[in-house]
Amino acid sequence: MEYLLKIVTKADNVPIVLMLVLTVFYTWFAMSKAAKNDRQDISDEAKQSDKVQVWPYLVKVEFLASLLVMVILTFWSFLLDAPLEEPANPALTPNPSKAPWYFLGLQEILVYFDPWIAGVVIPTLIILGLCVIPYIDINPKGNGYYTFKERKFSILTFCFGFLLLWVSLIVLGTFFRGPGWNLFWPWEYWDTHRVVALTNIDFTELFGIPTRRVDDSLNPWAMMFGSLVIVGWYATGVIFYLWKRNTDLLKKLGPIRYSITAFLFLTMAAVPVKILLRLTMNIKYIVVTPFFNI
Amino acid sequence: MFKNRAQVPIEQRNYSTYYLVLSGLLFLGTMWAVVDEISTRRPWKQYQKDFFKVADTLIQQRIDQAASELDSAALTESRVQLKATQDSLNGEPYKRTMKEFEETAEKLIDETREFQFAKSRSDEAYYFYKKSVHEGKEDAGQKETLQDNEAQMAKHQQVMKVLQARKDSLLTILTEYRLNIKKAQKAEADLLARVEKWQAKRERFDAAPIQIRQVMMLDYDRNPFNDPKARIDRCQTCHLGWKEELMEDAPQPYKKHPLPELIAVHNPEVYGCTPCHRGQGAALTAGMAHGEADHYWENPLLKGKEVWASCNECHESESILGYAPAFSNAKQLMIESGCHGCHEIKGYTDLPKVGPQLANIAFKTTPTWIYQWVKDPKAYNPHTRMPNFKFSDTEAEAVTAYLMDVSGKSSFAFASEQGSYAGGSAQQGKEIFERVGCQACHVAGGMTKVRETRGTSYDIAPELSRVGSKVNPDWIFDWVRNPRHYNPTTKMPSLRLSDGEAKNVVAYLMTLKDERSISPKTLDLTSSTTIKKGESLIREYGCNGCHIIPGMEKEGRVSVSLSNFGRKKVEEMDFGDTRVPHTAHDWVFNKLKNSRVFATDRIVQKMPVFAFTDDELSSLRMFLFSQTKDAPDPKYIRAFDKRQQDIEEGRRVAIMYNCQQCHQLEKGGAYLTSIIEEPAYQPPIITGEGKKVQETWLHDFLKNPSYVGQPNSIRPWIPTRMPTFKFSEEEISKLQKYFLGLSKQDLSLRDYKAWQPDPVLLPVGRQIFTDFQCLKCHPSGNAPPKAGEVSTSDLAPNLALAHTRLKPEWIVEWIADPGKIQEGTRMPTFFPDGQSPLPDVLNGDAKKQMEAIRDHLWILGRSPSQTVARK
Repeated sequence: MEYLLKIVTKADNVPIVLMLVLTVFYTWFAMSKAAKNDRQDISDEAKQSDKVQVWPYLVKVEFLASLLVMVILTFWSFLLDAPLEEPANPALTPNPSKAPWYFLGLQEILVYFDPWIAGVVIPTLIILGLCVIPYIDINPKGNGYYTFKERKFSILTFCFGFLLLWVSLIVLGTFFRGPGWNLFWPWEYWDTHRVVALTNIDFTELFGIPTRRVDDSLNPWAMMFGSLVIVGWYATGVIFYLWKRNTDLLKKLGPIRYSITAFLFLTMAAVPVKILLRLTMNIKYIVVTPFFNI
Repeated sequence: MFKNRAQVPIEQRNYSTYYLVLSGLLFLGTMWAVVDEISTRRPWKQYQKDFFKVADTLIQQRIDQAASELDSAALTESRVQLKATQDSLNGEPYKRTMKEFEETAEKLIDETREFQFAKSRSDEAYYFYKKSVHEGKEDAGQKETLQDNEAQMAKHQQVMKVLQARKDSLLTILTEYRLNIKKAQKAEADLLARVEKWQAKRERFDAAPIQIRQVMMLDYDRNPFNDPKARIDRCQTCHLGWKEELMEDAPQPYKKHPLPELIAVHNPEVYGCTPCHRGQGAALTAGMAHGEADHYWENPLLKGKEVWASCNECHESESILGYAPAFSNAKQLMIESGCHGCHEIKGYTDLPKVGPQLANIAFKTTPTWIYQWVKDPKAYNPHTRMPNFKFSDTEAEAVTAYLMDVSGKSSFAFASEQGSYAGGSAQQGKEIFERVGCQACHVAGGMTKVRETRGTSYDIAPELSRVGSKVNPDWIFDWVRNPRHYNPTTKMPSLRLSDGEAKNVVAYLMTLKDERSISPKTLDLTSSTTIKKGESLIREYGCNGCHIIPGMEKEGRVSVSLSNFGRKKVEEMDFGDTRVPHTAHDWVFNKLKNSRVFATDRIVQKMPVFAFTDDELSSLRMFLFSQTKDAPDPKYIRAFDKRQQDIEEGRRVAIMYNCQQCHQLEKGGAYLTSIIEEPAYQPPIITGEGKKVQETWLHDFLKNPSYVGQPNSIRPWIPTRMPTFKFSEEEISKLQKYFLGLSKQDLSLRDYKAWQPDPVLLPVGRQIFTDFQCLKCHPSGNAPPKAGEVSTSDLAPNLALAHTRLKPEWIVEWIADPGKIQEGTRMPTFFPDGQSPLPDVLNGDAKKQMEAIRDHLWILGRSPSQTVARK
């Protein structure tokens, strides 16, 4: 544990610890408010009929907030010097080479996916997904007050994507990835010379279908089988639609909005699935094609 | 509180407390920043203040000391003197003289005006008189006025002259008074000079501002992308006393630099400190600057002896660095240990192999000996440079088998019949061995003085104390008579032993037996699998790095390049299963101490085990840390001119042939002299050889020094023989340029035969030569000093050879001041301080007299017919 403590208390990692505290606090804050509102007929926010002008009543408070932030930053910079490392040298990069802390989640995904997917496809989908939220979320409830009961799916999906994937992957990348980008338990020393057994296999090989043939060319059977699994994953969205097509929700949503939502949701859900497959069963790829690997 | 607050309408909420607290904090932050800026984050300011305080105390001590050493009586006297001279200005005589001077000056002015008026009037009268003459009516009145005025002028002039003279003489008297005051003032100032010097220094220090002192070299470094990068060096901000004589014994960081001669040529005001000491020049706190507090800084301060490692960045191509003997020694150690055989080391890739060639070894020794040797060389000779490869019995057997196999096929044959070594006397052999100079390189029979003087843990030539059990007597006989017959690339020179001498030496060496009891072992040397295995072992372990082995000629270096070893990270070093502390220092030290120490059951290590002493280990480590690719901008690297290149090339030849074992060439060396007590019998010191001897003589001597020791040679009494090295013409030319370069001369073709003495000086020279009794110590061919006439230590070189050996200018320089050219020489100084002891000869002109002696020397060894008068 002492090693973890050492890393957590490093000057570099102050923002991450701060982020953890703040995320937990605000999630708890919002959820407790929502729980209270959900128990009442009418939300606390709605009860307040009294309204005031932005200027000066809000701006006044915002000004004080900006002062507070300034004070915090000033004292922070007095107490902790900039954690500089060795001069940059392209011939000798640091080990581990870590991205800025806010990108560590993406860097962590690089372990499980090809750079093309982890670095381009997934970030693009995250941005596009965030952009389309106003268009696919047709639930009008929850405006201007805290609620959970009325927006279960949206809130859970967001918490899953933000807290579980984005934040916890940053924490994983910062505190548990050591030299060689190897995983270290909190009680383990970050040893540069750590050796990790390389025993990854492809998903199809679990079923006795080798990815490559003897002459090192790709095995079309494996490709086909892998593709089937991927298609099957997305097909669950279609099956769900056919099953629940008569519910109010799906009717209101309509097939186009539904397919976009289902595609984004399934893609997001696929990321932790792949992570788990790798961590528990050493699965490298589900499907290997000459163009991309998943 | 918040609950209550929630009851208050938003419009009525008061935020002034928050505002007060936050702006108070912000103000506090600003103050904090100011305090940081002024003191807490600027520790160097305190250092500077302390420095000036320490300096002030020391200066006060100096002032007090200077004041106490002041001759107070002299000072009082000089003050009295000054007072007296100043008072004399008020005295009656001065006043009187002054008054008279002023009166005279006034009179002179009046008189001068009268004279000028008279002259003016005469000019006017002259004009009118001339005019009247031209008009034809001469005006007698004007003429009279003219004459009258001219007479007045003459009279005035007369008086002026007298007055001027009087005025001048009075002025001289007055000036005398003032000069006396000045003289008295100067006498006092001279007495107070030392005190005032320190006072001036104190004033300078008092006026010095507290500020960062930095040296900037805008293009010293290159970044990893090869763009010029400035080096900023602020060490002198805290290390203020580096050049102050005052700070000799001051505590750090104020201490004076211990090597003023070194920094005189590497001025820290131009180059800063970090090029040599490394560290983080821009940092202003000790921990960051020295590197202890910043473990990311790649160039921490070099501590202790290791500071020499940085010399290599600019002086890579020099094998001897005058100011860095520690580094020169480390280089020598590396070269002699043959590190370059297996490792590529920049600048040392073309050195010859350090071990003997093994092409004919079957003719030299026995397979059993080779086997024992390969298994553990130090067991036979603890001082050998050959390291221990830790071969197993079968591996050693295989290596022996291969060596015996390839050398057995060689076409080598002894020069004389087998058995012709026989018949020598061991007693006489020992005497020859001790006399002719073998001991300069070889230890035998417990004669270890030269080795101890040299001070390395290894010998540069094999110890012979057990040689009788190692080699074949036929081989020794062949070897000592002509080493190059057996091994054409050997460094071993020929000592020109006659057959008889060689037989005696063989007899002596064969008595040196190995007394250890070694259990005999039957070796299988013929099976082709064993030979094959030996071949692959030799290839794998890189024996060819040091030895020439048939069949291995094309093999390269077996190990890694060390050219950037100094930049190797501790993370790149494997500590195996050891408990050695994880630092580069400990890794290198332990690796060199026992090169197999980091081997594990998986990691095989092939580097053989050396036996360096701890001092040698730290020297080698320092050398290894010096091996980096970070060179500064070329303009900071010492550029070699032609002469320095010549010196360096020749130096390498000299080192290779171990000239320094017998002779002192630059600094140090001459280890053989430790066993020759009598200075006259020691091999000559040849530090100034380039200036001293004629180029042709040196060439012929290096080519063939065989006349050494013969009657009528330079120093026939020296028993040690200058060996015949069989230098190639190229090597001789390098050595010549080396000697000339050291004496700051260039190689030029000069015909010394054409140089003729001055016939006028010749008889004088002969006379002085006799008067100075030169022949008492110097034999001159025709008249050698007789036994008992002169003590051994006074024996001096044969002068009959002067005209073919010495440069004429050198002779004069030598006679003028022998001690200047060779310290401690027994040659007397006849012309102390350039003054001649013979004032009657050649008008006492010392230079002419020296030339006369030289001219006489020039004809000493020549037949009369050669002596042609100079035209």
